[in-house]
This record gives sequence, C-alpha cells and structure tokens, in this order.
Amino acid sequence: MNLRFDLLPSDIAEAHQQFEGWISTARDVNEVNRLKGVFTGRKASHLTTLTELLKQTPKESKSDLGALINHLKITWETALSLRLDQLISKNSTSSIDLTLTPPVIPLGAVHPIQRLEAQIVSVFRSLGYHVEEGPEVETEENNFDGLNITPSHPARRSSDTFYFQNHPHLLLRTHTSPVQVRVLKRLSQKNKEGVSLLESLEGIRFLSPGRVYRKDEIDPTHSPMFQQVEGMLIGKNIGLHHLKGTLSYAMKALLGAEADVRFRPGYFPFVEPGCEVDVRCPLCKGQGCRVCKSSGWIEILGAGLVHPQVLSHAGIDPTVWSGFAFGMGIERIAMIISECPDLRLFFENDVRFLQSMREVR
Amino acid sequence: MRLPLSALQKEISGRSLSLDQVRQYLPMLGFPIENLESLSGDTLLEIEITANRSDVLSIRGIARDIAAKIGTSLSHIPDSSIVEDSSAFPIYLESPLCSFYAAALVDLGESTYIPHDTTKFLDLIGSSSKALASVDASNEFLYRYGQPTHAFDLDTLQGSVTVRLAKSGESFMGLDGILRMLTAHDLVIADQVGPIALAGVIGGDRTKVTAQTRRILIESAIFDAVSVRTTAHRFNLHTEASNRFGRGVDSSLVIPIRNLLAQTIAQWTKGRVTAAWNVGLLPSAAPMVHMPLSLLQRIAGRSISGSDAMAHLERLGATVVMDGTSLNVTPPSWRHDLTLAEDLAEEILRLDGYDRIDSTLPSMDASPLPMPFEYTQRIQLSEHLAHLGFFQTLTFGFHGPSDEIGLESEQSGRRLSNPLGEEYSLMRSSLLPALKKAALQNLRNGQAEIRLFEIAPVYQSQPEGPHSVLTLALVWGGRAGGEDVLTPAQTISPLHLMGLAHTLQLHDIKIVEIGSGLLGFEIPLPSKPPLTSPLIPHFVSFSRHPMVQRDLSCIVPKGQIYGYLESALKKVLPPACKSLRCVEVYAGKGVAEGYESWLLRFQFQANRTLTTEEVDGWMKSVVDLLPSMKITLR
Repeated sequence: MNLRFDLLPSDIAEAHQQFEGWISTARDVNEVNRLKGVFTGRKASHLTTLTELLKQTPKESKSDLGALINHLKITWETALSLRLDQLISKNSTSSIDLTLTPPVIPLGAVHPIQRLEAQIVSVFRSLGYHVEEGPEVETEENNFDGLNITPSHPARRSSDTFYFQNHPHLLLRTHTSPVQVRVLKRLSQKNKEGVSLLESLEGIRFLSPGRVYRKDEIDPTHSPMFQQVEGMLIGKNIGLHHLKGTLSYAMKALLGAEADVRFRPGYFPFVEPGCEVDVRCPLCKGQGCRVCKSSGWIEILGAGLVHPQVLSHAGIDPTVWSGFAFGMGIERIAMIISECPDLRLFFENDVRFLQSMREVR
Repeated sequence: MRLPLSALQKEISGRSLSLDQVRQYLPMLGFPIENLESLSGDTLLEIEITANRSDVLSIRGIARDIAAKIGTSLSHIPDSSIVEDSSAFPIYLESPLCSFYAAALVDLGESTYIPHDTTKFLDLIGSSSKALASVDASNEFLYRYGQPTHAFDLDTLQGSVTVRLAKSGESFMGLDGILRMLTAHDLVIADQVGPIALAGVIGGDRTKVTAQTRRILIESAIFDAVSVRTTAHRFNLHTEASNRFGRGVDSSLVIPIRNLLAQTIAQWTKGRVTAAWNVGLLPSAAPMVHMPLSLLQRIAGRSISGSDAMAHLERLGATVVMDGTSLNVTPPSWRHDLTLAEDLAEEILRLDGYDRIDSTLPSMDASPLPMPFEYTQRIQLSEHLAHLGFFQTLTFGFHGPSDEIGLESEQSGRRLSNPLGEEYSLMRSSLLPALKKAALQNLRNGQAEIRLFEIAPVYQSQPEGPHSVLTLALVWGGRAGGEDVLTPAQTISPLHLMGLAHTLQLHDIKIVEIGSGLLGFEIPLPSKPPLTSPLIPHFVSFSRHPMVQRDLSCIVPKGQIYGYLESALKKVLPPACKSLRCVEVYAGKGVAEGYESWLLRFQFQANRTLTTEEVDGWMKSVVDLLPSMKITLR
C-alpha cells in the first residue's frame, strides 16, 4: 500500500524530511529528548497534532491518514530510542576498545621458598606449634656437641662446614637443629621454686625454619646455602607412633588428603630411633616414575625420637621427658612438588622464574 | 655400596632369596636402593648405608640383616683353620691404637690361577682383578666379609715389624705412588728401614706384592677407628680399608679371615702356608645394655612381648637374658653402634617393621606459645611488598670483599676461614650488592622495571663474633609505564621510594643510587613489636563529618624547598588540617622566569561540621605566612 504523504500538513512534512538529519547530529541525550518531545511527546507534538487531525478528516481519507500516522509513529520512536541507546552507551565502558593493551597493575611475589616455608609453618601452627628462630652463626657446641655429634664426626670437618677465621669455635650452622639445643637449654632453667620452664609449660612443640650452610659447590642439586624447617615436640611418654601421626597429618595437610607417609629406619646422631620419612610420589601417585626412581616413594624428611644424650646434655631428664624431632629441606620439597629441575633457579632471582612460581598450581 | 644379588644369595642359608624380596626388605631395614641394574647375568644393587653401621660394609653384613628379617641363618664362612705357631719373626705393637695383629706367612707357588667367580665378583663390585692372587683374594674377602687385610712381599721387609706412631718428619710412599710426610699422630706399620704401611689406610710401595713376589706376610688386624679416620682425612685418602677400620671392624672375623686368606692364596698359587701367629689381645665383649620393656613400649606405642623382643635381638646375634621386665643384652662383636636401650629398641622395631608402628597425634595440654615478632614481621612485610609489585629474592649470606665498602680491618671478624672462594668469603654487611646483581641480571634479561627486595640478616664484626641484624633491602629502578595507552612512561625517582617507605611506615630511610638507574634502600628491622596487639590494631576513632578541601596556588622562587614551607605551615595550621600536600609543581608559560607555581591542597575535618568562616580563617593564616617566605599567591 502506498503511503499518502500528501495528506500531511506542510510543516510536519518538512519536519519529517529533516528528522533523519536532526537525529544523527544530536550530540547528547538532552537533544534527543527535545526531539522526542517535538515529534512523539504527549503534548503538542507532531504526533498529537496528527491524532487531532485524524479526528477531523473526512471518512474517505481516514484510513489512509491512519496508516500514515502509524508508520510515522513507529519510524520516529524507533529512531529516537536507537539514538538514545547509542548516546547512553557512548559514556559507558563498552564503547571503549577493550582489546587495547591494558595498563599493568604490578603484582610481585613472595619467594616460593618462603611461601612454602610459611605454608609448612601454618600447618604445624594448627597443631599448636610456634616458631623458634636461631642465628645462622652458631657455636660448635650448639651445632654439634649438643646434638651428640662426636668431635671426630666427618660433618665437622672444614671440608663440610664453614668456620670463622678469627672465631674458631663459631661456624655457619649446618642445620636448623641447633635451635633445638638453644630451646632445650632455655627450658631446663629453673625458677626460684626449682621448677623448670619445661615443667611449668608441661611440654613444648615448635618449628624452626631458617637458612643453613654446607660446604657444597653450586650445582643443579647442591647449594652452599639452603633452607630447612626443623620441628620438635617434648612431652611425656612420646613414641614413634606420635611422630608418625604428626607427620602423616602434616603431609596430608600440605600435599593433599591422599598423601601417604612411609617410615623407614634411618640414622642421625641426635635421634634414636631414627627414621627416614617417604611420601608416596606425588607425581606418579606411587606407580613409579623417573622422579621417585621407580620406587613409588620419595624421601622427604629425616626424623626420630630425641636422643637421650641430647636431652641430658641440655639439662633435661630423659627418664621423665621424651620427644620427637624432624627436619626437612624446603628447596628439596619445592623441587619435588614443582618438578623444578635445577636448584640454582631458586637463588638466581630471575623475575621470570619468580613470576612463574607465583601461581599456585 | 654395590651389592651383586648372587653374592647376597650365597651368604643366606636355608632359604632362597628373590630379587623382589631383596627390593622389599632392604629399604625397610634402612638400606634404600639407589640403583638397580642387570650386569653380566647378575643383578647389581647399589644401596645407601648409614654412617653408624660399620657391620653392613660387606655383603655378609647386609645378608645378616636380611636373614634376621626373614628368620633364617647365614652360610658358614669356608672352614680354613690353620695351625698357629709361635711367631716366625717379631711383630711389636708399640701403640695401643693397634690392639691385635694376626699374621701369616705364605710361600707362593707357581700358579697364577684366579677363579672366574672371583674375577667376576670383583668386576661386579667395581674393583677389577689385579691378576695377583694375594691382592684379588684380599679384595674379595674385604667386600664379602668386611675385614680388610694386607699382603706384604716378605722378601722386601728389613728386620722386625713394628706397629707404631710415625716419627715427625718421616715420609712414606704409598701403593698409589704418592710420597706423604707423616705426623706423630699417624699410625704406621714399619720395618727397620721405615714405614711400610699407613695402618688401616694404605700399603706401601716398597713392600708391595708383584708378579715376582715369592713369599708374603699377611696382615689381619684391628686398628683404632678414630686414628684411622683422622689419618685418612688428613691425607684425603679414603680407601676401602680406611672406610671399614674407620668405623670399626668385627673382631671375631680377624683370625678366620687371616686363615681363609692364607689358605686361599696358597691354594690358588699351589703354594703353602708356612706360619700363622697372633700378637696382642682381641677386645672383650661389648658392655651389656639394660633395656626395660616399658621403654620399648613407650617408643613403639604398643606392647611388644619380652620373648618377641628377645627373639629379634638374638636373630641379630645378640646374647639376651630376660630379667623380669627388662632385657640384659650383650651386643654381638660386629655391632659397635648398640650402646643404649634406645638403640636396641630401634633394632627390635627395625625387624618388627617400621610399617607396623601406629599413627596417633599426641595429645598435649601445653598451651600454644605466641609466634615471635621477627618471624611474623618478615612474613607480613614480604606479603605487603609482593602486593606492591616487588619480588622477594633469596641470595647467599656471604659475599666477597669487592662487595664491601667498609674498612678492611672491620671485615676480619666476618671472614670465613674456609670459604668456597674469595667471592663468598665474608658474611655480608649489606644486602644491596646481591640485590644489585640480581637487578642488573633482570635488566639484561629485558625487564623494563625492576622491583626486588630481600629480608635477611646482615652482619657486623663484634669482639664475640659476627653480630646479625635482620634487615630489609629493596631495589627499584628502570623505566615504569609507557607500555600501554593509559600509563605514561617515567623513570623511577627517589620520591617513589619515599612514598613506598611511607606506605610501609618505614622511617629514616636513606635512598642510595646503585647505578644503571637503580635506586634502593636498606633498613634494619625492629626486633621488638610496637606497643599494639599482634592480632588487630587498637581502634582509633575517625570523623564522619564532611571534609573540606581547599587548593592554594602560589608562586615560589626556584630553589625553595617544599619541606621548609610544609613545616612552617604546619605550625600555623589547626589539628583539623588532616592533610597538606603539594599536588603540582609547574614552571613555564604564565610563570615568571626564576619562579615556580606550586599547587597546595589542604584537607580539613573535625568531629563537627566545619563552617566556611573558620576554614577561611585558617586559610588566611596560611596566606599571611607566605610573604615571609618570599611566596606570593598566583
């Protein structure tokens, strides 16, 4: 059906011809709203004028005009609302090219070794352990003698341990175990009533994370400095079953509920009995792989019941008190979990490495 | 230690032993398998031995543990008793470091036969045949039974043999052809000319057995373990013999192995044993160890009966007497490591199986103790810095003299006596050199902006030794921004570091330029917490009334320092002035030569709504102060 534009009053016909131009050049919402008022407003708009006109139109033209008005109403309303949408969205984010390179909001990273250390600490914190820290520069007494390591023990040689030139009895601690000696000595001190700190505390459990030094050349699996976490619990009637329970709990908390722990006999001068503790290889789940040398198990820490000599050396009666101790190398665990092939990466401080180790896998 | 499966099987009597069983038992007995390979129709296992177990430095020693585990016995060492007679020539034990010396003389026959089993065994174990009966037989029995022996060419000996300490200045040429200067602490076997062996470590070149040797003196002895270890270490000469003597040998094997060796050599060469005699005394049995069963129960976490415990210990060769609720145990001659009840408990559990130990969390009434401030501070500060875009580094605690700026005399107290190298010889007095190296390496790797930090101790020389101070060091540099459409490129300025220090509430920092556009600072961390709760800070009330902001643009002579103006203004501003900042510095069009325009921003807030009049009053006192500092309003 042909629309009868000739039925329009001249001013509205002219306005309609201009409408497209006005709409496209309207620069803001207000201008569109003004046009909206002029064309489709409820009062004194072109649309109301035409509605009035329809009432006075003779019967024979009525349907033609009605169809025309209908057409104009749809045209104007659609165009106005489209333009309005366009203008509103121009002020919102979606009109920005979001594919442009966004600014970098910098995020650094805690070193993976410290993060793992903190995770280990928090697991044991949940079991009531606190942290005891000790110095890196230690005495021979705390690092060796107090730990039942005899004067002729190979680990004491200058080929294994760093000593100080002007202080022959000082060394760089070779493990975090001297913290045990420091804490035990402190605990054995008695108050005026003759009650030792250990008695008044009724036992102790603590972790000692920290840097240790051994005279190893730097290679993919050795470093003269690395980090250990030592743990100790002293109480009454403590046995290997308690050690096993504690380490099983901790390994499940760290590595997942399916983590399985295996104890094997081991030897360290400061524990008796001693154990090596394996976890089921987290990579092959015990099926046997390159990392676990096909055994399905990975040695993860050394542990045992505190040697009675260590207790009595610190002034604690081994017939009353007993306990366990364990120690692990953090880098070693980090390398196993992350499958990182080279220990040196942890000390190179390459931001690309630190960034890649930031994401928790 | 290398362990051919066939040799292990040969030592076990009464039961066959499969590879699967060996693989299962060894780790659980305390000998993890390092490697396993098929070689010459045999299986070669490489196992790790713990330092306390001298008795397992032989195939027989390992077999003994397996036999005890599976409940069978060992094969007999081939019977080879020989008639001992009075000494063929004098052997003097001058030093108590050698308590017993078993000797034998063998006239070698013409045969050069060495059994195939022996050469194959030596190949497997990693020590090839030397084609000399006395050497190969000695080596075979060392690996099989753990007793080191030595053969001297009798015709090269001069006069009597003495076991004595070396004389200072005496020298000795070993079998390895190296001449060593001995000390008065080294035990030697000597003839009248001088040392012919470094006792328990290595034989001498002058008296060594060769293809021409016709008569030999066999030595099977006991040397003091510490003495052998010390000498081996002094000369960095760790031999199969020193490894075994240095940990203690089985005194019950000294005579049987001397006999076996003498007869074997005589048999192979078709010669004959001409004499065998002993000097000194074999050590008496090890002291008895008393073990209450209650201790075993405490360690194991469950009850193990006295008879079970006794059976385990007897399988290991101990003599056990039950005494009520205790066991009195005499360890066997090969177990020097069993001196305490705890040692015995370990042995019982080792045979019983560590896998049978229960798993229980200890119940403990002791309250948890607080976490130390230094630890919490280190963790929290690292996390803050990581969130601020910094990467935590991990560097060695030592560096070299070229990394130091202080006086050399001060360094001596921090110097290691045996560093890995000059560049690792000093405990560091600053973390910045290591951070700088890490930063430069990252710049070379193409990083545009560098943000690194480390929290670690640094050291000062003190009379009592190196004194450590926990320190934070930080390096920031390179080019920031310019990598996207919104962030303009800028170089890192010391003001950036000031802002960072402000955010972290670090005071009195000293910013240093460390080259290549890198800036840094280093600050000792407090060892004691501020007086606030460790859990959550103390509540400080704040105003909810509207804040009033006023900007003031002023013209300042160039060279004026903002800090002076700020401190002068703070004197006249009321406590309601919560913030004063210089937010813009401008020079150029509209500002006269020699001057700058500073835009100051004031923020006022109090516990009430401020009136326009009172804020106007405060701003007027600011404006009134400006002329005294040659500052005018713009």
